[in-house]
Amino acid sequence: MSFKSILQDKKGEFGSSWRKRFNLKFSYGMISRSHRVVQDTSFRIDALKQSCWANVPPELLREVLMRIEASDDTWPLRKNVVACAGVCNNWREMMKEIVKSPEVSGKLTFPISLKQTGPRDFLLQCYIKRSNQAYYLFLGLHQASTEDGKFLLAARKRRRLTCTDYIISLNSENVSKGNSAFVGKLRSNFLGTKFTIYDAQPSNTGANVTKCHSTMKQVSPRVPAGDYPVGHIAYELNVLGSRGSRRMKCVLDAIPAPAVEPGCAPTQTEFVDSNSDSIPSLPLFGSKSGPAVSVQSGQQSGQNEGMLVLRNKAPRWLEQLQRWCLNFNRRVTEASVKNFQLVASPENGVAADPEHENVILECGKVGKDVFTMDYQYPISAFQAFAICISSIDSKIACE
Amino acid sequence: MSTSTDNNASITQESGPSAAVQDIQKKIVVRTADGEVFNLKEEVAMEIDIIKTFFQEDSISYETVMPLPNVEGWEMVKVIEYCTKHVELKHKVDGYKERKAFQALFVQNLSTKSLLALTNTANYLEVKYLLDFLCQAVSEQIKNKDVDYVRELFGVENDFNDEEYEQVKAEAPWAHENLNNDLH
Repeated sequence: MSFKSILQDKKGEFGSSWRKRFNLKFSYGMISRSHRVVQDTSFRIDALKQSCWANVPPELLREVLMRIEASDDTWPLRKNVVACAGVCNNWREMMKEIVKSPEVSGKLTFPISLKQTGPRDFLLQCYIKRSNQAYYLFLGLHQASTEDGKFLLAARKRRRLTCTDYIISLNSENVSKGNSAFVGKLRSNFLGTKFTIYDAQPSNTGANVTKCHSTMKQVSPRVPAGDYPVGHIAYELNVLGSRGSRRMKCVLDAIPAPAVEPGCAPTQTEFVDSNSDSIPSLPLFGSKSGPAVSVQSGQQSGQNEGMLVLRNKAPRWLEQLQRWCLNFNRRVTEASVKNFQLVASPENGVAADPEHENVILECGKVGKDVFTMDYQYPISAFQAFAICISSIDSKIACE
Repeated sequence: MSTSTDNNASITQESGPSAAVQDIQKKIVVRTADGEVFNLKEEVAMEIDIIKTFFQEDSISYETVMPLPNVEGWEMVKVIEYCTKHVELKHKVDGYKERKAFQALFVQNLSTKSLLALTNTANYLEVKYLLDFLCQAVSEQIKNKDVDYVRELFGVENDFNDEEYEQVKAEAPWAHENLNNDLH
């Protein structure tokens, strides 16, 4: 389906759609013995002027939409699902019900999927391309491919006096804070050792962590296009100084530590136009068993209570190779101090088991300006992208 | 002569013989909205649940002409065509290829609007396998159409409110995605 016409639609204009009249002809005929076998197969199409699809039961429409969703499950065909959600209110609601979140389905469907937690059982394979002070995130469309992927997010670097900002946007051509495609930003300190991830929209506003629900409405308080801190990343040298790999620590404010267990990480369901004055209502759900987390603006990474902490998996020194090595399952082909795997830190109360550590995010170099990025529950593509940029751009422990 | 009578007698079943018909096969008669009358072979008619229910559950005599006020003549022709083929293929062990070829031909000359009307009818008549097939065919058709065309086809309007419309617009790049990997 083409969406060009939607961009030309103005408010209040409904195009040339019209409804056909539906005439029911009730011919309760008499019991007749005039049996005439019709063998002529040339049917008259003008008869169909009297039938109207608009009167068909919603379950039929649902059947059709479900089939589209099921058959177009990978990109680029997945665009058809997005297009169907743009036809009208009814279609949109139905399609949003049919489409499951990435956590459940393992698929990215709408732009909001980038703010929702990744799949539970496997790593979603993406890749990042670096070009001229900017980074571009793509979804890999084929196993281990780093070409021809589906574009997801772009990040543009802006160096300032005391820090560096990376603006993250859905729009690859116009990466700025000033439009509705602005998703969030990553801010680095002067040394490039501490980073903060900011979300353009709040995930919670001091409310208890709510249960994941696919119909949960987004809360949008009246604040300007936002800067809501949702994560902090810190880099340190390890005891071996710059001869060893760096130590990474990520604290994700918006995700409660219990999310690491089979639990529930908060997830967003709609982008809300930061310029809109409306405040959608939030149906309150009871908080999941676990500490309540409140997000306050400007909170620094001092307090980690109840927030998810990720640390990089320590590589092992392989004597025969004279190198530090991590098992990336062939997803990474070039050695680099920027390569990492993040796992849940024991600080979360999760038992540390080095043999079976669940990698939540991994990133590594495969080419001069190409990096693979694989992520899964409980982080989102947006958070993963920001964390990876911080590693790729961080200068610590680099010769 | 007595032999033929015996033959006729042995074929006759308990539930109302349609004696008026000349040949030995039982026929069910329906009349569509536009007044056309169709003779269906019993085994084909019984594929159509609404007809089956009418005659079997209510024990109505086969002499009754069943009215189908929501069905047009041309639609009935197509439904009969599909059900007849389905019955024929039921007895075949390896009918997959033949079924696929038949299905392709079946929808080949149907406009999208006709396809929609026929789907509606299959739903009304309660022929599940035909309905499944047609829903699939409709979904294939929608995918390649402009959103305005789809709205007109389905008789729906762009009824998004401002907030929703902004979201829809924001999703537009994902809705007509082309995989251009060029960076700037």
